[in-house]
Amino acid sequence: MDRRLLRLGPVRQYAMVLAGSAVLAAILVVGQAVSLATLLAGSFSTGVVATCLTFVALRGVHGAVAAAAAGRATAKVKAHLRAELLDAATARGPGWLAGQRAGELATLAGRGVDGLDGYLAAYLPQVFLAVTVPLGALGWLAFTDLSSAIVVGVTLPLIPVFGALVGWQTGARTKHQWHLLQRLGGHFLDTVIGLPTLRTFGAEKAQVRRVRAMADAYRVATMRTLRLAFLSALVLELVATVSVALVAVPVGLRLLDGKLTLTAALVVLLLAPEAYLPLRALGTKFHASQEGLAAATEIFKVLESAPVPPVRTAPRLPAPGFTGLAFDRVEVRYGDVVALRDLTLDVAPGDRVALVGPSGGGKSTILALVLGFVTPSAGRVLVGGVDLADLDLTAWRARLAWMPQRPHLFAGTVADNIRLGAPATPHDQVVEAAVAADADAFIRALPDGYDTDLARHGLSSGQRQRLAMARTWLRGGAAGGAAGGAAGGAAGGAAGGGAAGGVSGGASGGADLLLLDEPTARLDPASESAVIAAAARLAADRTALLVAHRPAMLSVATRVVEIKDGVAAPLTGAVVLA
Amino acid sequence: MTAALAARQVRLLGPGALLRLVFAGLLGVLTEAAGIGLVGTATWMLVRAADQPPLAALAVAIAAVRGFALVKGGLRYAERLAGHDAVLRVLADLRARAFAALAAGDRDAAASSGSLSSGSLSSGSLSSGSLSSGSSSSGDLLSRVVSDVDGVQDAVLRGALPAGVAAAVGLAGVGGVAVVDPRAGLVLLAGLLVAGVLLPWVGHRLTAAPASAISTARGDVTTGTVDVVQGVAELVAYGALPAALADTADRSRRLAALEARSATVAAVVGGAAAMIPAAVAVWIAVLVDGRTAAVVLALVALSVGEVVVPLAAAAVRHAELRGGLRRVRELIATAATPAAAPDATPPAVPAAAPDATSLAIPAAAPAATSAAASAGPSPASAAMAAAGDRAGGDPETVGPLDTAVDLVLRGVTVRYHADLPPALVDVDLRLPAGSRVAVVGASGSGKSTLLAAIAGRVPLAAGTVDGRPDGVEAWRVAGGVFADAHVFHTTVRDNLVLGRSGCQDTDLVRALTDAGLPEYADRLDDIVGEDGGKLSGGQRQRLLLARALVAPPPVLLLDEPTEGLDPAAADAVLDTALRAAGARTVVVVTHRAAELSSFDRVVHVEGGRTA
Repeated sequence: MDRRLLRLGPVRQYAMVLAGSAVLAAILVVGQAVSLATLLAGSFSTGVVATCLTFVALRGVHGAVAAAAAGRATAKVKAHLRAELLDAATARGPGWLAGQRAGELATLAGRGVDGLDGYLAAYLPQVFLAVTVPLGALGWLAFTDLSSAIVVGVTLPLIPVFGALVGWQTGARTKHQWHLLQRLGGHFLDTVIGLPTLRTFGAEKAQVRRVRAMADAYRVATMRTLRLAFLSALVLELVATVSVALVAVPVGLRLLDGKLTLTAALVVLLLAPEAYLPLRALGTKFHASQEGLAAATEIFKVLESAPVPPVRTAPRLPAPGFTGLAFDRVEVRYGDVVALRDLTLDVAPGDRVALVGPSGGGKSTILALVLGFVTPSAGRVLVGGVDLADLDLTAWRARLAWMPQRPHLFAGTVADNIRLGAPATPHDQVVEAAVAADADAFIRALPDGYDTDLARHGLSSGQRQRLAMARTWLRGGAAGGAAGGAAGGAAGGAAGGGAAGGVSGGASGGADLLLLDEPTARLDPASESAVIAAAARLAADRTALLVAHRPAMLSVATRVVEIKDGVAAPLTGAVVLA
Repeated sequence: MTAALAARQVRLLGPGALLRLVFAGLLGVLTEAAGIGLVGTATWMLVRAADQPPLAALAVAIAAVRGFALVKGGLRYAERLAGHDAVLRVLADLRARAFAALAAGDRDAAASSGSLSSGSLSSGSLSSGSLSSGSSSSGDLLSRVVSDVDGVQDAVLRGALPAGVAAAVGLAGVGGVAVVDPRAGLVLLAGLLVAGVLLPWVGHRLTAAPASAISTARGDVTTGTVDVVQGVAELVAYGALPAALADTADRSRRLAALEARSATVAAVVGGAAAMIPAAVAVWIAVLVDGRTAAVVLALVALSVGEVVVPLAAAAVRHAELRGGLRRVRELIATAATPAAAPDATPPAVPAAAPDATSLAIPAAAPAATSAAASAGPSPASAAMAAAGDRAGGDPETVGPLDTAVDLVLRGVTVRYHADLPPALVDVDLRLPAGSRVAVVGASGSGKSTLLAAIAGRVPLAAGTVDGRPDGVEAWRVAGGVFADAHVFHTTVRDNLVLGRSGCQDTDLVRALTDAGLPEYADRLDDIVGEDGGKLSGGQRQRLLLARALVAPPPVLLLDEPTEGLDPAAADAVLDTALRAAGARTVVVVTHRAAELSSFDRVVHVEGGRTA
């Protein structure tokens, strides 16, 4: 998994810089130790002092430049990963994301990616230093005092061996810790959103305990990992300090016998710890890098399981003009659950089909099929006789105006929420859509009118629904068609070589097919009739699929189909209304 | 008491945690001392050996070198475990306190009119009932609570603890060196002050401003991510996904630029600090007379200096964390009132009342109604809450009230925001025990706010809700299904129970059946997905209804309980639910004319007024 990270373009460049920098570091370490030993042994000549201070200064400058470069590269890689992660997560489509916890993904993109700091900025540079600096120190030691070099050379490999053994042990546990942390993240978001509900049942105090219990579980798991992880640090530190003692004592004894100069002895004393230090630091930083690597595994899980969307060799653009939609013996499964079985339904141009039936019967699934959010596990969805699986989905979706059951409003202004997907839409068209959806009056009463930031200002459910209706209206109306075309073009450009070739800008007036999922679910009778009037006007010369419970909505329909247990049964309006 | 003042008084570390940290710090000092001792004795041994004295003269030094070498590793291990354990305990405590503060903030907003500084959060989630606005602010909260609180861990482990150890080791080192040679001691002191105080201070100053920008940028990235993930269906359907992704990528590039700048400052300051120990060693070697003293003091100074070097980077890191620390303090300060602190012994009522009143004033002022009217109910309700705390004992054993209650609303006015017209104006409503009341009206007319007022979930700008027995919290009297009801990402059982004690599975099954969701009676352990994402809209609604029917209070409030059901099922479910409610008062917000026949009374709400 390390490898997948290293294969990322920005990481590869960074690693090359690090390699060069580490060679330089080794030269500077040896230089400083040797010049300092010479100076300490009694050569106080200006030349020696100057050389020594030069090495000290160069080491400091090199350290600063290397750390700055590491920080910059790390920030860059993290931004790259965040973008890739979100691209991949969203590319898998709403169907996949619905099963994911938004909190978990946000934690992954936030704290998870930030966890890579430990790996990229600290561990990775140390990997290179752990190769060059010990080799450099060992080489110079061999020159100075072969027997010390042998002791260091024999004990040095013990560090990576012990490190690997313990690292292998902690790896699995750290993974466990990451899952706990992620669970806590999701749990926290969920609990905070649900706080008003908890209050309603006097249950918020119990949740405080639960949060504490989760955090305690986190501490226990972490300490279990750390006792083991730090044991490796203990072993490594012991190897290093004991080896220094092993080197220093014989050197002292040989000095005593006059077999060694003080300069050589001081070089050994200064250089031997430098040989161990990078490897020990690697051990410490390895621990800090593990959280990031565990996060990286999660990230790559998302990146790599990103949709292998059915390969659309030369996706076909939908034929201009809507020539009908047909469900041909369609079956949809969510895991073991069959949402639709053997659905056959024809929607001719101009049909306005109301889908009724018990909740959970598969009505919303039919809309999701048309939107391409789910694919049939059997059967086909045909658009003008062409299998939807062969169509360019982006171009097809540009023909749809969809209003979901629980519309999402984005952090941003009211106006931006209405002109979703068509940011260039002039303000008067936004207002027009709001008027059509009976939303204009309440929007004007908001603190900043159309510029009110929805991240700061909440709306009632009825207001949200009308705002979403305005969004659908803009998409469906003639005005929305032109603006949608422009936005589609921009989107295609931004996607940069995605599957979509962009939407042809000249597409005719508005959406071909209207998909309304209980648009009046949260409305009172007065706004309900206003929205239905808007829907009726919008649907007038279009084809529509309407999921409806309320009789008033059925008046818009030309045909009523009951969806029950995943199959369709035509009904007359009279039966439903009775 | 202003929020800032209160925040400054908040201790992030309790006395127990402080003791554990001091212990870890002591171990740290001993570890460093062993390391310095190793270098010092080894150097002394080598320099002495060069004079070729008898071997016996070196025996003690040789033993000391070996001893220090062995001890250091063990001390380091103990120090790191002690430090991490202490910090993780602090973390668990802070997470719980932060959440308790959020919970208490909400409670206070409802109990009195104290909206505190988290008022925007509580009133936002109450007034909106909107998942979307709730989710973006909770995206912020996720970023805030998780990373700010975790930042405390970093601040202690990489900031406070090493700084304390460095200060102790540095002072001891300076003292030790000065005993041998005072001038060398001064040089070391100067070096330590530059590396350990001046440079960290410079680093801190240079990064303080970017650090708050970084934390804002990080919040932006999280908000954008949550929005994209939760709104992906609409983004895809409207072809707006590429733009939204590009926007989020922009945000994360802005964050990266800020992080890179901060890393550069840290690197420069750190590099400068790294030069100092060796420079000090060179200076001391040149300065001190006598070879043995010169060499030993130089290398001891080098070791002492290296303990201080990491402080420069730690100071920069601290600047990054400071904003987070301040926010954690502020958040916790909101709960640091006697009535809200969960562990505090219940204060005497006279002491609690003035405190509660002072809390009520800042919130009442923007409410722009007469101060007299708003001050009226607050002390009473605060005293009631305090009494409830005292009488209640363990809060989890307290369930809804099991006696009938006649509630009377008199002149109730609710205002969410000073700039907006009131959501409810001067409402009078009698709810005699056992009555069945339907509330109808246009969306946004104030129906949900009326339920919230009955339930005591919103502060009243004016008026009273009478009839709650003294000392009984509002939720024990009235509750049910509200428009902003949340389905938790857990099992069906946990969603029904919500931490209430004494719920048997048979109760849950009955509630599920009454709510028209019998298919889940034998699937209590099914996970329902994020906000009930694995349920259909109608199933979700019935789960909420079932939750309300598990242990209903004497006044059952149902905000569109049959939303998302087809008409026939809606009628059947409402019928069963009303029957299950028995002798309780039931208030239902509804749009469906067909449902109205089952009620004694229909209340029309229009523009916040009842007719």
